[in-house]
Parts: sequence; structure tokens; C-alpha cells
Amino acid sequence: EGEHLKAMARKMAIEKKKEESERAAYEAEQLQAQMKAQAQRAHELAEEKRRREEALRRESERIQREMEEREQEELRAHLGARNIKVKEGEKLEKTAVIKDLMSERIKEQQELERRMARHARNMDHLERARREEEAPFLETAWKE
Amino acid sequence: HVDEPETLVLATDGRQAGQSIQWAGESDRLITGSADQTIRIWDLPTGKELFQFRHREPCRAVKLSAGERFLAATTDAFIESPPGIHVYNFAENVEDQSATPVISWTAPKGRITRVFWTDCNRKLITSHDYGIVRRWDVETGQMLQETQVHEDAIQDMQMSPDETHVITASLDKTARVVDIETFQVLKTYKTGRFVQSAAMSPLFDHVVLGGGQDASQVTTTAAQAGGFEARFFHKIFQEEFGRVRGHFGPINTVAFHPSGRSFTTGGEDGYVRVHHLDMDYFTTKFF
Amino acid sequence: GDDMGIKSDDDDVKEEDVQTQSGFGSCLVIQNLPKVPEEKYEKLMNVVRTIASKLGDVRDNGVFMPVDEATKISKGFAFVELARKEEVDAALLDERFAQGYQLDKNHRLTLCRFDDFDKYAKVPDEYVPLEPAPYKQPENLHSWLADKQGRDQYVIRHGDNTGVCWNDGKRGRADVAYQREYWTESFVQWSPQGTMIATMHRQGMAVWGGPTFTRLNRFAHPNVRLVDFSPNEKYILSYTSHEPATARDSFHVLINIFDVRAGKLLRKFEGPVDEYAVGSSAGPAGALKWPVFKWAGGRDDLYFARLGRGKISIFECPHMGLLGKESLKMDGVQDFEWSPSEPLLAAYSAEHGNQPARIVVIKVPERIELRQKNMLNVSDVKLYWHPQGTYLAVKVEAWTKTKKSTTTSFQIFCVKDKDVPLEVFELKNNKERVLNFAWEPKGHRFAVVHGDGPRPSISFFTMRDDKGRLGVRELKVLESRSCNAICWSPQGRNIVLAGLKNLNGQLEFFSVDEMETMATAEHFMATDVEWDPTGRYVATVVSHVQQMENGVNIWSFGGRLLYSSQRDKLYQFSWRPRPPSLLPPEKEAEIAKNLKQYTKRYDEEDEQLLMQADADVLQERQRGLDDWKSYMESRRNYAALQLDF
Repeated sequence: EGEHLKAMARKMAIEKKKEESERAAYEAEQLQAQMKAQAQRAHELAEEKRRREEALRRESERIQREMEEREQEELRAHLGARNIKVKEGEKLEKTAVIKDLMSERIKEQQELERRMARHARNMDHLERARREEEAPFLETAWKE
Repeated sequence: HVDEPETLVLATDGRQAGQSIQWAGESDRLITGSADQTIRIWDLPTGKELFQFRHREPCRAVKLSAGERFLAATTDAFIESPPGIHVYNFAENVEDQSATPVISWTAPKGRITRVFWTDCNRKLITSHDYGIVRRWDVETGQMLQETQVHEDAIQDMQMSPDETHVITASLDKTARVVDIETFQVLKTYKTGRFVQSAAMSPLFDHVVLGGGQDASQVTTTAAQAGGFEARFFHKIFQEEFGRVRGHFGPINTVAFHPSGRSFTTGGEDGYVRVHHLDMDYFTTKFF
Repeated sequence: GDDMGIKSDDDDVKEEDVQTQSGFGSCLVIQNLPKVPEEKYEKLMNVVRTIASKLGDVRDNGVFMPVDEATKISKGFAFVELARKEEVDAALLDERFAQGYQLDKNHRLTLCRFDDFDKYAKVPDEYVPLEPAPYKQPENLHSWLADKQGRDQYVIRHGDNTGVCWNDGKRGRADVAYQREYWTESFVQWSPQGTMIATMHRQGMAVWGGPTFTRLNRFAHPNVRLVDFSPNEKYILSYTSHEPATARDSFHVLINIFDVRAGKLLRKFEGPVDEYAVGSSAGPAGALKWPVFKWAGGRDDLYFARLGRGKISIFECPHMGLLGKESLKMDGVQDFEWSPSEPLLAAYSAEHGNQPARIVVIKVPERIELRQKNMLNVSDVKLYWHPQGTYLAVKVEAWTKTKKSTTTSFQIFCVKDKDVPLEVFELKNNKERVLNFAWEPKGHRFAVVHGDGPRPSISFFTMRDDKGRLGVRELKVLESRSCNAICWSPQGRNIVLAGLKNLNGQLEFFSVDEMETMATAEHFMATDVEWDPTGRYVATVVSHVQQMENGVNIWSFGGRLLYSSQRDKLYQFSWRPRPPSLLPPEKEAEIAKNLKQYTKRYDEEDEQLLMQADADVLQERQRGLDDWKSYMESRRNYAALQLDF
């Protein structure tokens, strides 16, 4: 009788242990699954983020490229307007071109000024020569 | 002699336009002459009013004698009173201050815009409307000399550091350097605009002039039209070499910093501008 | 030599008369003052000032009490200058002074007009027989034309001062040729060829000329208001209008015509103002628009004319009678203009009844119609002769069908071409407002300012193509300019587009030959632009209509600022005109061909001049510096004393 009770108790204990271990195993499994899912989600999020960033980067790169292209076009147009030939595919350095254009502009301005000065000198000298030659005529006109 | 401190203090009594200010003591007191018919002594830095001289006329110029024993003040003509010049004892301790002048006398018609002590405190020189400068005997109040140096009102007069000459600013659109002993005009700076104030650099032979269109007419034209720049002239060659923009109303007052490294302008637009002169100013030889 | 019939009467007593009265109209004399020694001078002066201030608004420094140089005792009278002439009249009627002003028991002050005082003071005590004036060689009136440096002159009137200056653009400065205070009482006017300058006085005008501007002649016309020379300077017209005698009368007009050389009055025109203020001669409120008489162009001053009601009255020189004893009848005539180069006049008659508006070009004295043009629905017409008389442009504003707006077209009469062909043209948008029209003074181009907004456009057109064939062609449009004035160079080719007055003085110097902007600049608040007669320089002016910054800027034709000169209260600026050149055309061509030879010499001269100018400036500066140093030195003791104190 005592044996039986003992056996029963042991059996129950074993049973209980088994149940516990099973539960623990199940819980562990659950946890693992959960963690896995979490990891999966995290991964997905990261992936999503990466993709977004990638898209953003590409977009900004595109914008940058477009801007550069437009800038290049503009620079080309500027240079074209001044009859400066640019090789196909040649990359133009903005600051350098602006500097060039500025110096070009200054040069033109100086050229205009030189031209004006020359023109002014000619006008002045022509007027003086005319007056010099007119003087005797004036003199005779006055004497009359 | 009083060194002006490097802080800038704005005093207002909230009622009437202040006309002139004067530092006193170790820059711990300030004297103001105001259109509200008072001359006041203020404590600095608390801003507390220490004393009041009352007049029945608007007060204008105030000036302490060398040594700060006397205070000269001028009043405008008002109803029956002609323009007046008043000399007070200036007490070291404000409790001893008397409100009664030692001597007062009257001047011919027209505002007395500035007053200076000269000749070892024996004489006063004053600038007036109608372009006149006058010299007075302090003891008797007698007019010693009268010379017309401008064709229109003198708005401001500032003394050279060595006290041998003054610069006058006038509505005749010029500023002039005048010898204080002979009242002879030594230099003339033509601007084409009303000159409200003129200052001499303590560092270089430069003067700076401020002014512009009449305040009452400013609103009728574009801001630029008033010509509200501070204008730099070479003191000896009388030629302009620079302009400093900033105000959008006429400049009423200009002053150099005692170091000559910056200058300050006060404008009708309500701004006081402190201008720091950049390196170029000190390194460039202008003529 | 020939004295041009100009009297040498400079020693004449009357000369003084003209001089004093020219500037002292607002001056009074206080007589019977005490005679005081030096010490009391100031005190008396203050008393006099007080008295003077009761008389009126005394000018700054307007009281002057003369002192005997020898004794230093005051002379017993004082001069008082009041702000306005009217005040002098008022003061003389002042009750307080009418019986004399009792200063003290010995001095009762009396007043008189300065001019009267002067007149009496000048009466010599004894009769001195007049010495015959010594014959003087008249000064060469053309001397200014032969300036060695090829400079031109301008007159500038500011404050009480009138000065004639040489414009020295190369050295960036003006040299005074002549100046004088109170030279004129109102304005000055160059004769059309610059030979002389007219000044205005209470008694009339005077003309001056020669290297030292001596007086050549005087013309009596009390209170003269306006004058006008004939193009070849033979005659001068002067104008006044007079208050009506009774309230019902209208203002009365008096116009005198004088022979400039002889000084003789040749004819008077007088009448009520409404007889003269007709058509385009009438300003707002029935006022008269000057000039009333217009002179025919050409090398001789042959005809002048004025508008009447339904007629143009042409007068013939030198007898000044009506040409053919009869006016030119023309119903509804509103305006006329003479060709600047020949006796040819263009007239416009307004539409009335069944009569269309009419523009007609008439040859004088034959009175032959060279060409005419009829038009309907005309609202306004303006006539623009080319300065060389080659074209007449007529701006016609016509009502649209609805009569609510107008369109603008131009009828251009090509006067020098056979049968006077007519070119008609319109702007692309003929409803646009046309603000200005200007012929190129030499050449075949013109400029039109048009647009309805605040920033109009300027279009350039030419009358001829490269081969000289007629036809209006557009050359260029400059869009959106802040511009309210266009000024062609007198030589053509260049033009200044200016935004004056409320446009702040924006300037664009434009070359019409190259169709390029030479420079843009600003002369802040500028009121006027004036080319020099040779087209080498441009003056921009801020006159007294602006309160501040009065002065002149002189620019090169291409817009380089050469110098500016500030003049407070600047009333007038005008370049001295030049007569047409006497050089024969073949000589002109020769000069143009050989210009290089001249240039070489002139370059050397210029270099020398500029070097000298630089040296002068430096020397002047050094002198200023030295003077200042010695001044400071002289005041050193005084300064030390102050410092020690």
C-alpha cells in the first residue's frame, strides 16, 4: 500500500516534472518564436528604412545630378553666348567658369571703356582741329 | 578734464526733447538741457535725478567750465523773454547746489545752439541762428565779439581737442572750421544738404558731418532722397572721401569716440548707431 | 574795324544806373543816424538792427553801416536789405517812419529807397562838361570760338552770382571766364549762336559779349519778362504783360522788337492778351505761351510770324511790316512751326463742321502750298521739324470709332525730297501712349518714347535704308526704361535716356550707331540734362526746384563722370551755343583725312596739360597742409595755456 502510494506520488511528481518541462519547453519555444518574429520585424523595418534612405539618396543624387546638368547647361549657354566652344561631355567647373565669365565681363567692360576713351579722344581732336582751321576764317569774318 | 566713458547712455525724461548733454565728475553725473524748461543733474548709473534748474524758457545748451566749478546754460526766446545765457556755480556736492545763477544776461534774437568755455574760463563762445558766433565776458556778460561765419543757423559746434578751433554745422549746407580767437573761418566743407552736426576726429585730419533734408519734409520724398549718410571730409583739403549709410532720417548729431576708432550718429529716425571704423580706414592714405 | 554799330558808352552815367538797380531793389537807406566812433559802432549797429527788423524781413547780414575809412567814424546812414522788394514799398509807407523816426532828440531817422539815394548821391555838385568818350576798339566777339584747348563755355546762375565757365572736361574742372554778382535781375539768355548773352533788368535788357563780357547794348523795356533772339541774332524780342486798368479789361500784352546792333526799337506790338493767346500760343487759363512770335529759319532773319484767329500774321524784316500787307487766312488754324533751315512753315487747322483737320506746308514769301494732308476725327496734333529742316513729323492723335480712346500715328513730310513725299507710320500698338518724339539732330533717325506703364519703351526708327531709299524702318526697341526725357547729342549718334526728377536721376548713355548701352549712371534728383554744343560732354543738373544737392555733373558723351560742382540755389545752367562752322566742306574732309597729324600734336599737348594739372593739385594740397601746420604752430602757445589750465 505504502509502495503504491509512493509510486503514485513519484509518478505524479514525474508527471508534474514532465508537464513543467514541457511547459518550459513550450514557453521557450514561444519566446524563441517571439524573438524570431521580433528580429524578423526589426529586420524588415531596417530593410524598409534602408530602402527609403536609398530612395531618398537616389532622389537627392538625381536632383543633384539634374542641378549639375542644368548648371552645366547654363554654363554652356553662357559660354555659348560668348562664342566659347565646349567639348562634348567635358565637365565644367562652376567657380572657374564664373571666374572666367567675370574676368571676361571685366575685360569687355575695359574694352568698352578703352573704345570710349579712344572715341572721346578722336571727337575731341577732330573738334580741335576744326577750330584750329576755322580760326583764320573767323578772323577774316570778324574783320569784315 | 573728463574722459568720456565707453558706454553709451540714453537719458529721457519722457516729456520733452533733450537738447544737449554734458558729463560731469568721474562720469558719474550727467547734465541735460531740455525743451521742458529745465536743466537737470542725473546720477549715473542709477539714472536718478539729483537736481533741477527751472526756467520759464526752453533750455538748450549746457557746458561745464574747465575744472567743473561753473555751469553755463542757454535758454531760448519764449513769449516775452529774449534768449538768455546763465552761469551757475556747480557744487561738488549736490546738496550744496544753488538754483540761482551767478550771472545771467540776454542775447540778440535767435537760438543759442551751443556754448563753450574758453580762454581759461574767462570767456564763453556761443553759436547762434543766422550763422553768428559770439564771445562773451563771463564776469560782466558783455558781448566782446560777434561774427557771422555762416549764412544760416549754426546747429552744432564742437571743440577741437587742443581747444584752438571749433567746427560748426549749419543749415547753409556747409560745415566750417573756425579759429576761436579770431573767429576767422579756416575751412569750409560743402555738402549740398543741411548740416545738423559736425565732429573732428581726434586721430586724423578728418571731419565727419551729419544732416540731411529738413525733418519736416522727409516724408515727402524717398528715404534715399534725404541724403542721410554720415560724410567724411579731409579736414585740411576739404574734400569728401567717404560716406557711411544707415539712417533713414536726417542725422541730428555725430560724435567721434575719444579714441577716433569709432563714431556715433543719432538720427531723427530714432536710432543711435555706433559705427566701428574698419581696418581700411586706418591703413588707407586718402589723399 | 567795324564796331557793329555798337556804341562805346561805358563811361556813361546811366551805366551806374543800370548796375545799382540791378541788385538793390530790395535795399533801403536809413538816413540821419548818429555819427559814432568805432567803440560805439556795435551798439549803434544793434539799434539799427532792431529798427530794421521792424521794417520787414531783414536778409542775413542785410544791415550795413558804412564807416569813414580815415576817421573810423560812421557816416550817419545805413543800408538795410530786406527779403523782398514789396517790403521796401511797404516800409516806405509805414506810419512809424512816415514822419521820420525819432531816435533821440537830435536824430529823426528818414527812409529812402537805395536806388533813389544812389541816384541823388551820384548827381555831381558842379556841372562837369562830359568828355568825349575815347574811341575803343570793340572786343572780338568771336574770341571764345578759338580757344586753344577747344573748350566750350556754359553760364551758371546760382544765388546772386552769375558766372561763365570754361568746361575743362580733360582735367575734370571748370575755369571761370567771367563772373559777376547781380548781373541780372531774373535770368540770362545766350543768343542763338552764342555771340552774346542777355541780362534782364528793371529798365530792360542788356547784351554782353567779348572776352571780358563788356556791355554791347541796352534795350529799354520796363520790367521785361521774356526775351527771344532771332536765329541769326539780328533782332531781339521782349515781352511784358500789364495789369488791366479796370476789372473788366483783360491783361495787356506789350512786345517790343529791337535791332540788336543799333539798339533801336523797330516795332511795338500791343493788345489785350486774348488777342495773342490763340491756339497753341494759349496756355492754361488763357495765359500766353512764349514765344508768341516764331522766327523763320535760314541764314537770314527774314520773317517772323504769330498765330491769330483764323490766320497767321507774317512780318517781314527789316521794316517789320505785315508781309504782303495781309495775314495768311487759314480757318481754324491751331498751330504752326517754321522749318529751322528755310522760310517754310507748317500749319495745323483743326477739324470743324464739314471741314477735315488739315496740315499744310507753305513756302514763304510766295505762299505756295507745297503739300497738304486732310484727316478726320483728329483729337490732337503736334509738329516736329527736323533740326536740319529735312523732315516734318506730325504726330496725330485720332479718336477711335467709340470716341473713348485715341490712336496715334505719324505723318512725316519729306520736305527736301521731290514733291514732298509723305510717309505714314504707326507703332505696333497704335493705342499706346506716345510720351515723346525726338529727331536725331544730324541724320535720318528719330526716337519715340511710348508705353502706358511707369516704365516706357524707347524705339528708334530710321527714315532711310542703307541705299538712301525713303521708308520708315524700326531699328531697335529698348524696353522698360525708367525714362521721362530723351536727349540726342547735337551731333546725333548718341542719346541720353534720363529719368529726371521723381525718377531719381537715372541716366543711360546709349550709342545709336552701335545700338549698345555705353554706360548707366545716376545723378541723384537731377532735373535737367544738357549736351554741350559739340556733343563731347553732357551736363546733368540738380536745380533749385530740388531743395538739396544743387549742382552740376559733367559727363563724357559715353557716361564717364568727369567732375561735379556743387552750387547752392542753382537757378540756371546753359551751354553757350556755337554758330555754324565757317569751314568749307572740302576743308572738313581734309581735316578728317589728316586727323592723325593733328592727333599726334594734341596728344602731346594733352599729356603736358594733365601732368601740369596733377602737379597743380599736389602743390595745392601741399600748400593747404603747410598753411594748416603754420596755423597750428601759431596757436601752440594758446593750446598749451588751455591745457595747463
